[in-house]
Amino acid sequence: MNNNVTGLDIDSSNINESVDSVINPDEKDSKQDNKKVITPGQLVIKRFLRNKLAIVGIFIILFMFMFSFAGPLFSSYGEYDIFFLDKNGVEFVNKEEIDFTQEGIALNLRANPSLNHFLGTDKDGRDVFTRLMYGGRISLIIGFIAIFIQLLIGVSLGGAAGYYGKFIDNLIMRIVDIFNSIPSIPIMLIISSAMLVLEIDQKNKIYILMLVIAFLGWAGIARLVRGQILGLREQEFMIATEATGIKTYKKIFKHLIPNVMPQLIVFATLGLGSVILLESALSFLGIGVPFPYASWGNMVNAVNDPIIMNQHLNIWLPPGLCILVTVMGFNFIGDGLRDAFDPKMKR
Amino acid sequence: MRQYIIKRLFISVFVLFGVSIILYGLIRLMPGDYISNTVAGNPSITEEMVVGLKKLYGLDVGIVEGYFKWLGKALTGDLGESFLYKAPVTQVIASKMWTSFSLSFMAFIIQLLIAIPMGIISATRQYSKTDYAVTIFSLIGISLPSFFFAAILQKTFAVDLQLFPISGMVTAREDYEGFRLMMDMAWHFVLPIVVLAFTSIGSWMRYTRTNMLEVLSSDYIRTARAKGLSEGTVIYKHAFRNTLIPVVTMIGGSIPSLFSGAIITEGIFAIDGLGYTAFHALKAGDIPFIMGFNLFLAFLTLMGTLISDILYAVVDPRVRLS
Repeated sequence: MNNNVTGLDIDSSNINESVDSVINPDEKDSKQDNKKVITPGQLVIKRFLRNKLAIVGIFIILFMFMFSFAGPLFSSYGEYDIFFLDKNGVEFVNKEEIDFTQEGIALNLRANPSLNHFLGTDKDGRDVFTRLMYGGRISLIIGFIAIFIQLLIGVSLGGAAGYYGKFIDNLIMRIVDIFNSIPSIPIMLIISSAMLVLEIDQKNKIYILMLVIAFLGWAGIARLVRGQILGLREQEFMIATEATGIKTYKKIFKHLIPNVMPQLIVFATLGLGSVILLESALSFLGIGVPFPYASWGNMVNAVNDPIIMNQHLNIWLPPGLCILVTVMGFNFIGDGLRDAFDPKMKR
Repeated sequence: MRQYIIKRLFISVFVLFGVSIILYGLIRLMPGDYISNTVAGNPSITEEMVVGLKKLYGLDVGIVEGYFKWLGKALTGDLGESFLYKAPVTQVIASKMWTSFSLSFMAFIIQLLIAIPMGIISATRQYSKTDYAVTIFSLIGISLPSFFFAAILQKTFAVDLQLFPISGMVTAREDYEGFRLMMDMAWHFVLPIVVLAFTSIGSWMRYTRTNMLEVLSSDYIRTARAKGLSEGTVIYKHAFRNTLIPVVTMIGGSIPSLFSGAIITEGIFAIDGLGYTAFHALKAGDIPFIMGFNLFLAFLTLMGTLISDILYAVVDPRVRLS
């Protein structure tokens, strides 16, 4: 946060080294002076690790992954298990056909937090804590897959536009403009009502949701890649590749894409946060992850019931906090990465 | 300049065509008979309306022919009649968008008033405690889901403290008029405005901070310092004004989007703006309204980019448009 005396020493030597490594990137292995020479990559890692917020972000994301992927292994409850109370108030799970004619059996609805249910049960008698873990799984998986598809489409189309220029560039950029102007929530509403008509399986709805999020979000990445490649194309090393007669795909994937990598990594990390936010908003509106699957967004949806809002904070507050903390974790990391990759940042 | 604007307008029209093709395609690709399916069970829709609707979208002819038929009507401003609101779509949009605009506009002003000074301060004191506080604050704002934040505000300020109404636009049963009505509406707008302002204040702070940092590391700032100008003059006269270039560009580009309405926030607080209207129309399968609303949103986005590009050239004389 603040520079003490020794910190200043390290800082100034850092600047020298970073200048060296910028001027002579290929001589990074040669020993100059007696100083320890740092590669640009090491410099980035060093800068990143010095950013406290980014470290906090890493821990948050690690924790969330453990919680949602390893957590359910330690829980004896399933995602859709519904809890009942018999007439003596003893709790049991509905595994087989239940005899409702038997007297005194009731659903264990909206139970308060207890040792059996750390966060109580929801409006259908399901364990909130267990659903929180499964909800995290879905949110994180959707986030990663959607971003991966976005990168795939965005990098190839943006790369092609930037590399070939002229007509192809114009054509691709107009497609980017079109996708940029399509609003995601209304489109998802149309698609979800279509899925209702088609009677699509609940599980498949999740895949479709992922694809829709991916297809509506790649435009930003394409624009970024194209802009970077347009600038890189003019540089000397690209003229050199021209002179040596390297194949086109090698030029693109070996010389251009690696140069866009830093921006892509930052964009993808920040994008993960916004995809999770979008997914949770869609699920909150009832057009995202469908029932009975848990997602943080559709768990917060319970807040629409005034009784739950006022008296059962244990049902809607934890999933909301999970969304906030996870998205914040990704944003902390993304922000730290951006600063670490930026050569102008002296730190 | 004029040539550039004309070229950009031309491109915008082209992009709108693209958006309309995709939207039309989506509705046409719906299984079986989408219209019959969505309107089934809706007693307020008569057989006549169904026939009229099929005709409007050219569902009685092939997909290409149908598109051009629909387009011809759309070009003359006839986007069809909304089922739910029993009025032409354009009229519904025009009447509701001002509520959304006044809500978003107030939130927008508050955002800028807080975000720009905070962004500048955090950039001038990079890596100080203030900078960290501003960074964390803005990242929380960016990461906060609006529906969750709205629920928390409703619970604390409307239910527990009873300071503000939980939802709606006016107090029921009180027939306020004139100034009292305005005050009553303002009182109802407080919580939604806080939600809208807080959830997007972060990106404005980050944007201002990044640009200010960029300016502060440039050569002319070093020159200004070397001349021995006071730090205040360097920052507020030289750096701040240059930071305003991208910020003003961005502000101009954001103005059209203020009309678009916030589906989630308006829905939660039952503010009768465009977002709320659209959400109900979408849920009710009001196809003409869905099409019209989506086209309107696409139009707003395009206007936003166009305005920010033009402003960029106007504000910064170094930029040459070609």
